[in-house]
Amino acid sequence: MKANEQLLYALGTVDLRYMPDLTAKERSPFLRWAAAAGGICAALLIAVLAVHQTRIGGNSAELLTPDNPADGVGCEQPDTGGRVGVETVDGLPKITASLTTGGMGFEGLMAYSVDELENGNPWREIPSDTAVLPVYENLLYTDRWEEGADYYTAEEDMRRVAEEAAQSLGMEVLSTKADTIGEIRDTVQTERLTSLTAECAGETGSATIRVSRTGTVSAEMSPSLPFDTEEERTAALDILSTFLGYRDAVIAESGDRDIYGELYTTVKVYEDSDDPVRKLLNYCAASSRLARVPGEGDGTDVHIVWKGPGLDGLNFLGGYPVVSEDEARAMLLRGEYLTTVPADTLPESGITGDRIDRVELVYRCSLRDEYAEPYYRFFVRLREGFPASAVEGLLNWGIYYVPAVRVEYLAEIPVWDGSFN
Amino acid sequence: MEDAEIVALYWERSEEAVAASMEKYGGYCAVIARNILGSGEDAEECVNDVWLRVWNAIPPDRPKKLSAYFGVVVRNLALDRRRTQRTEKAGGGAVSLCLDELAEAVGEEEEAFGAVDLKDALERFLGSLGARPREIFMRRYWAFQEERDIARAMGITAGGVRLSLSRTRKQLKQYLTGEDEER
Repeated sequence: MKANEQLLYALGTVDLRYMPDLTAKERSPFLRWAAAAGGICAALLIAVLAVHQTRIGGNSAELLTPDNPADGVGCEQPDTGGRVGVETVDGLPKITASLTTGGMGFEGLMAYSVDELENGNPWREIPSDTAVLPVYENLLYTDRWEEGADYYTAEEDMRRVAEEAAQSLGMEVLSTKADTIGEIRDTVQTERLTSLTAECAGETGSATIRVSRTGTVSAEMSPSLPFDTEEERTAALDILSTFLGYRDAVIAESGDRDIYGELYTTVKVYEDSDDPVRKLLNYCAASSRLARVPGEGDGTDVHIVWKGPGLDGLNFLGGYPVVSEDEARAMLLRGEYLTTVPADTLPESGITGDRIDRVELVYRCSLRDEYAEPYYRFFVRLREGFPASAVEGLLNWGIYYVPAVRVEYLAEIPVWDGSFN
Repeated sequence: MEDAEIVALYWERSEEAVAASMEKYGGYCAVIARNILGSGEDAEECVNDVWLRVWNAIPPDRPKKLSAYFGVVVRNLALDRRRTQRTEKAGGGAVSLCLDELAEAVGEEEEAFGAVDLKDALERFLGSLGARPREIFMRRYWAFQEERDIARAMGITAGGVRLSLSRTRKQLKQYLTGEDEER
């Protein structure tokens, strides 16, 4: 056998921990985003809602509005989703806090300083004395997350969304192709529609638009859009505004480094709001992602833009009493947290106050999260020199989640045992 | 059904284990098989072989992560099938492309590694990689995914995938050269 063939076969024998988890949709930045984020395009909204409401039996997301703020107004009649036997506290259905990951790694971020991990999260705009925050049932939640959500299942729906997306970019669809994969169910092999790809063109350029079964719509732009200067960013967002459906877009950039010290940045865009809680929800659950490529010269261009179902898949449950940042910090130090970080990456002293370098409030609402609920997300500095293969000077922060909803409203809190799969 | 429940069914020698495996991992296995074999018919036969192979392997095996376990089984079966048939049907070319790319790192000399424990060497090399380049490398050469599919799955550009693969291949070459020198 030739050397390259030997290598290819040998790769199939390495320890399972090195295998890429192709079912881990949340682990990759794109898929995590795809499950949780996206804009509500005004032109798209009606079609999307129509398709979605058909699938979920007419439930529509009741979202925070100035008439339905997070301070408890409008929370008197929580929606238990019609579920019989749901335990309630003060009229609110008990919810679960959990951290389901499909990845074989853990959630950690490397940088030379914690300041590099700034990510544009607007949570500090929420008054620190806020005692109640909204919680939503995630209608896209599935325990079969490895297959993704069934947001669009019919080719004609995908085609209609693609045509509207093309129109929002000033283009028209030239051709479409349905993408399928083989699937075996009940011993019968079938073809499962996974996405529809539309080649589009207009006066300003062309685009490949993909509408996926999971509800994600992406546009691969040609030519790409310069995105370095303030003027370029404004111009790019103008072009994309109808596609994204944002009236007032906010750009949030974040980055972390690999073990070689190379910086990887992520750019997402979300809709601004006067309501700070709504703004946080937009940031966490309804943002769109821009992928960049090197542009002409030293700059970078936006090449692909993705948007997801956004807040459409969230069904308002009620306003839930929440703990303060200080209370959450104390819970973290008591070991009341959820994490994927292995225990042996911490020093022997474990999590101590001086290792908590950053905290933020987030809503997690991927396909694996049954509820879109707030969590305090702590950045805890892991032991120095971990991993040993990283370049000198790099530090590593593990991510630890503390449920913000008060514990009496939680049905269960599975705490990570520190083991590493 | 949770993985642990499926494994328990295998240990109980319940045929429900196979049905549950098909339902949960049928599509997943089919994708890997088709990446390697291309043809739907070949891939289907290959995936059908997977269930028997796993039935015979559990017990004594007790895998913790079934997706990876099924992935290994279907990959090896598909590669064996491909080697036996020596056909290059549509899609089977993905393996040829991967072989060409790996030849940049290790060449095409017959039995070049001799008695070298390639599994051990590869595990140490993979362990030295960052999570992102390792995932890209394994998606390409373990699961035979196309660059654009890797890019889409990981939220990066196809150019970034290409760059990462090129860099990792060079590192692999240096690593294996170093291994040779040590011996």
